[in-house]
This record gives sequence, C-alpha cells and structure tokens, in this order.
Amino acid sequence: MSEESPPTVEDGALVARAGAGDHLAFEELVRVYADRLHAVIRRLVDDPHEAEEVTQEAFLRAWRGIAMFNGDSQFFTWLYRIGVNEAYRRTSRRRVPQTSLDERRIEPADTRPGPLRHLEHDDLRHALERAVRRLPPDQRAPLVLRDIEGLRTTEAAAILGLDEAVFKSRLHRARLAVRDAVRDYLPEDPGQ
Amino acid sequence: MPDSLDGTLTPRRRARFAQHVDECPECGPMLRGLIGLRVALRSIPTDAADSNPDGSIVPAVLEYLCAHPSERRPMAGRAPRRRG
Repeated sequence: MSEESPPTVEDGALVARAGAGDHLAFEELVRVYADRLHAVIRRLVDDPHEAEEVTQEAFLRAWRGIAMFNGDSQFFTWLYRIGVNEAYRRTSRRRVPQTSLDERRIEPADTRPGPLRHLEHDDLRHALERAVRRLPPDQRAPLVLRDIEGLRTTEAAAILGLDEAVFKSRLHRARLAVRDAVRDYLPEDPGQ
Repeated sequence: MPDSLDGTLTPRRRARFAQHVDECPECGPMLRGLIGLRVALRSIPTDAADSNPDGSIVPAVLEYLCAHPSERRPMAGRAPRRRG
C-alpha cells in the first residue's frame, strides 16, 4: 500500500450498513480487505497457519465491534489495529529466539565478485524478506507498517499503540538490522 | 536520522543535518545505506496475490465467521473449513 488514501464512498456505505447489522455488507468488506490484511499478517507471523488464524480472528473481532467503529480512522486502519494486536497477542506468548548479529547476516546466494555481486531483483527481495522475518516482533511491525506497507509514521505508531518517539526508535533499529543483513545485496555506497 | 529519512525535518534542521552528513564519516554512509534500503523495501509487492501464495483467504474467513457465532450471528449456514 502506498501513502494513506482517502476513504471511499463505497467503504463508508458498507461500514455503515455492517455497523447496523447487515451481514452481507460485512461479507463484502471481507471480500475487499481479507487478502490485504492477510498479506500484512503473514509478514508479522512466521507460521502460515497461524497467520491464517490471526486473520480470521481479526475479522471476527471486527464484526463483533464494528457497531462501535466511529469512523475516526479509515476502516482498514482500524482493521489493521485489530489484526496487529491479535498477531502481537499470539507471538508474545512465545519466546523469540535470540540470534547473534553474525547469524542475522543473510548469506548471499551468489558470491561472484565485483558488479555481479549485486544480484537480481528477486534475490534482493528474498534476502529482504528473510531479514525482516528475523527481526524481533517489536521491531518487525514498525518496519512492515512504515517501510513496506507505506503507512505514515503517525498512523503506524497509533496502530501499534506506541508513542511516536518509541516507534521511530524501534523503526531505526529495525532498518539498521535489515540493512546490515542485506548489505551485500545493496548497491555500493557512491560516497566510499 | 529517522526524521531525515521521513522528510519531517524543518528546513533549518535539514540544512544542519545535511552539513553534518557531508562531514561525518559514519552518518553519511549510514544515511545513504538506509535510503537504498528504503527504496528496496518499497519495491516489495504488497498486493495480496503476490503475498498469499496459497490463494485467497476470503472463503476461509467467511466460513470462520459462520463457525464462530457471536451475538450478532453474521453469516449462518456455512460449515467451517480450513484451507490447504
């Protein structure tokens, strides 16, 4: 998702109808947003089956609470918050395996020297995905919401229930960790 | 550094930071590296089809809602199903 887009008339009408108890309207919201939310949850939860369960539970909670949705934010932002909270609730039950900085470094798939070291786009993407998955949950969510999903800092911090300063600190640590992990895949610093 | 990346520095602070980055042997490479990283992260597709290799989750969500009746009973009449 790029920068936050304005709510659509269709969304507003569907949300209003769903809030009044119209299950067909809510079903339409599921059709519009379930895959998008699932894509975000998959980046936050390692196990695919658990990501599916989190997505399902998020929509159940949304249905139960949609009558209280006051429209202060976009529907999908509100849905994000429910989904991310559910993902946090589940992942926080488990201990995050600690890895050393060396272990976090993603080994490049191609060790050819010189310009060929900078691999094809898909290799970079896969290295990024792996590096993001190795982040601890408290750093992963800020990076996913801000740098991959493209939410504004204020919005992403609100979704995570974080003070903006705390959010920025976690985001910065996440960016440094991912940059270190995929350093060999990124173009060389022209200033060096 | 984060505010610089987000473009939220005031003009005055931006100018001071730019001067610092030009002179600092640590911050310059760090900033350029993080800018490159941000570009790379933004290139990761966020569309659902690319991120959900198992296909749409919509049927599973609808059936989950049906199988977990709340006081509002959103969607009656479907049997629960798990994908895959």
